[in-house]
Amino acid sequence: MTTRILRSATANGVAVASDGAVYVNQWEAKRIQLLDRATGKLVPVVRG
Amino acid sequence: MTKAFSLLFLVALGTAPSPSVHAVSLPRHAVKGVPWRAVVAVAPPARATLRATGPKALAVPLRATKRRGRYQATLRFPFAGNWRIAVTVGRRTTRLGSVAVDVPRDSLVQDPITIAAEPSGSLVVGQLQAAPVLRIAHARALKIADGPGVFHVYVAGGTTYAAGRDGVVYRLDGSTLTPLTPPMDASAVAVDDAGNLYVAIYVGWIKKVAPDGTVTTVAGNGTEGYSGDGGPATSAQLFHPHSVAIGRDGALYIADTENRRIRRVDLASGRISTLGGNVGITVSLAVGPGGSIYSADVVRDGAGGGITRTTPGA
Repeated sequence: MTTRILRSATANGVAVASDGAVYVNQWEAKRIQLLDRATGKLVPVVRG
Repeated sequence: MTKAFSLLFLVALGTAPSPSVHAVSLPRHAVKGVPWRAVVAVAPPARATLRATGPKALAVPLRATKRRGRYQATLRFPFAGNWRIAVTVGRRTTRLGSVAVDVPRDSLVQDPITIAAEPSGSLVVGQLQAAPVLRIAHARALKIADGPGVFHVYVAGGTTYAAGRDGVVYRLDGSTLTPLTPPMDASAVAVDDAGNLYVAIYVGWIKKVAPDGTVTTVAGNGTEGYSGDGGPATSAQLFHPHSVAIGRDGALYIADTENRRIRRVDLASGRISTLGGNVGITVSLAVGPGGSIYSADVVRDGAGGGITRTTPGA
């Protein structure tokens, strides 16, 4: 079964850490963000 | 007469009038570690505390300004994210609004097209143009290699691999990207426990490169389309595959981009199937600790964009 866990602008990449943390990179926005599991919102990690 | 009556009434009840609190200046955006200042009005004037609640809880006393009834406080938010702001006077707390706290710009982050998680919890970031490959740890970017520009990075067994813009598959050795293949139009790479490379080629193939350099086709017949489920993966059609990953179950997962699907190849039988449903214009896959397949998709014609999770066998 497929579940959408984030609706956002373009997501160019996804990575999942061993603790289950989900990271998203957005190429044009030059951002890497963490998906906050409690709120479902993106929290910035680094940006260019 | 009326004022006197009100005062007598309050005294009779033994209560004080409730303070009125409102924001005079409450910037809605801030940057982590950079001073942010709020100004609030409290009437009647009283000692007050500004509270910020987000990734942690902060409380600072509001200081009186030259203007009676106006108070200010300065904060340096220690974490990015959304913070709620409130003011407490006595026992009463008044919520004033929220602040979105961003991270400062980092000049190393120029063109982050792909990410992968390392076992330590850090991230490897590949950049599309000739920008360095980065490691993100503790919210800081560090250069780990000069890059030729990469389409995709992949971490297997603690080793980082990359599909370069030049079509070559690389392995990161220290601070050097070592070529593992000749140019083969690689757009993504995954690696299994035996060290075999699975290389996505845009026109519709997944090629396997064995440690001895032998190249075979694993999936796709090189023509664009969506067919072949239940049969041999080498007879199936893919449509511009952009990413690949090896699952916890040992299967190969393919981001079948223009088909908006994840394809699964059982590497023991060589058969292909479709995993789950529509994942949008998928361009990146990652495997979660429980075996779920995460997909990142881009906006197309104003629709889509985000992350999906698909669990094999569910």
